[in-house]
Order: sequence, then C-alpha cells, then structure tokens
Amino acid sequence: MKIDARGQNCPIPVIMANKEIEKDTLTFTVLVDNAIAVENLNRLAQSKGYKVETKEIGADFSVSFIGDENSVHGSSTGDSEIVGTAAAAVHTGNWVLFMGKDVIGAGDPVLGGNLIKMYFYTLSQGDCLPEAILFMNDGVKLPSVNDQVVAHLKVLAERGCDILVCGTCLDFYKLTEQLQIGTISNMYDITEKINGAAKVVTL
Amino acid sequence: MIYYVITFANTHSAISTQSHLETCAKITIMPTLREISAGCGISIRFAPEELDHVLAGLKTWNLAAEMYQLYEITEKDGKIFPSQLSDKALT
Repeated sequence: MKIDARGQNCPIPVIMANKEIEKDTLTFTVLVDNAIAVENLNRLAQSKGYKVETKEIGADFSVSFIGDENSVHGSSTGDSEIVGTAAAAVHTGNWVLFMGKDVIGAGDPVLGGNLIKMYFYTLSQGDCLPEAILFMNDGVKLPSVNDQVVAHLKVLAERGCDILVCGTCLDFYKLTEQLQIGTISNMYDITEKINGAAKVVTL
Repeated sequence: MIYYVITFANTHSAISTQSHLETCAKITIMPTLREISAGCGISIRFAPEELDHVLAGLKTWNLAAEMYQLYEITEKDGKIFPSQLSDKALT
C-alpha cells in the first residue's frame, strides 16, 4: 500500500497516514517531499506503535510504517499509562507563572500575541496548573484587554489558580477600570509568591 | 462536546485569516491538535453556532483551498476525535 503525499503541506501527509492507521492497515508507505513531513510521520508512527523505515529517493522520501498486531494494538495500553502519569500530576501547585509581557518571547508581536493565546489555551486545559499567575508591566494587558486570554484565565481561576495583577502597572497603563479577571496586587504579595515557589516560569 | 477547527498550511496564512475572521465571527486561537499534526502550529477554533459566520468569512477571504482544512472535533471521555470535512462543506 503506497500513499503519495508529495506536494502536500503539513498536516495533510499525517492525516493521510492516520487514515490508513484507522483502517488498521499494518504496513504501508507514504511518499513525501520534505523533511518536516518525515519528522511528523515518525512521531505519528511512534505514538501509534508502528516502526518506521525512511528512505531518500532523489528529492523525495519514502516513509514505511511497519506494525504488527501486538505493537499496534498494544499502543493503546501505552496511551493509558501516559494519561495515568498526567493525572497523577494534577495541580502540583508548587510553581508560579510570571508574565512581564503580553506576548511570548521576543520577535514579531503578532506571532507573539498568537503564541500567548495558545499558551493560556493549553495551560487552562492541562492538569498541571501553577499556584499563581503574576502579571506585571505589559503583562497586565492580558487580564484586562485580551479577551481570549481573559476567558482562559477565568477557567484557571475556577480551577484554583491565584491571579495577581500589579496595581502600579494597571494604573500606569490606565487599565485599572478594564481589569476583567484577577486581584489587583502589589510588589509585596507578588514577591512573596515568587519566593515561596519551587519554580518560577517566565515566557 | 463538538467544535470546529481550521488548520493551515503555514503560520502566515493562519495569522492573516485569523485577523480577517475576527471581524465576522467569534473564534479562539489554539495550537493545532496533536491528533491532527505533530508539528504545525496555529489553528482557529469555533463553536458550531459560528459555522455560518466563519464559512461566510472564508468566502470573502481569498485563501487558496489547499492552504487550510476544516475539521469537526468530537471530545468524548477525555479523548479527541478529529474528522476532516470535505471541501463541499465549505461552499
């Protein structure tokens, strides 16, 4: 069984391969024309319990999925073990998140703005939540004027995260009236949270 | 729970489409589900009641059909089941 996924951009080759896996096809080959697709197919194979053989054919790659009844069906057991580990890590609580910016990283602000929305989306759905999320400087724009992030912060607050927002910073940016979620806080409380945490994460 | 997701062939298409759709529908930016792709970035999520607005928005947005893909996502018992919708659903 050969699937020609050349000329297809990510994530199409992975979807095409996944369709075969869903049909319980044990052995098949996917033809792709870029290294990223090869990497993604490798990860897919690993997560589904298939072995992979990759060959370069000129400018293209041939990625063969090789599964056997036991390994492929056995992978679901592996999945549940991973879920078990994640469940055990529910709300460790001994870390805090410090947001001094309203983007992730340095670089293009539009990309950084998208990344921060995706980060809070993912964090709010996960099982390992920070004890507190601290917002300072540009970071205070997130709980005040970034509607998507506000929605995720509301979920995080409901799940027990303390959300502290620097009052000095809100005042500086004239955002005090627009704060939608969190407690207006001060340097003493924020410093205490940082000092008391085993780990402080900044983005 | 059922919701819809649009994935993109590249980050620039995702960002520009997002800006456009924000003007006509209620959407959420999310990372592309691992069940769909291990590596490719930004997706747009929306509720079933926003589908008409999003489809209308996509129609007025000149993005080539091969640059994006629409999925219906079903979440059941903590598991995610993506189902790719055909191009016909978009017209």
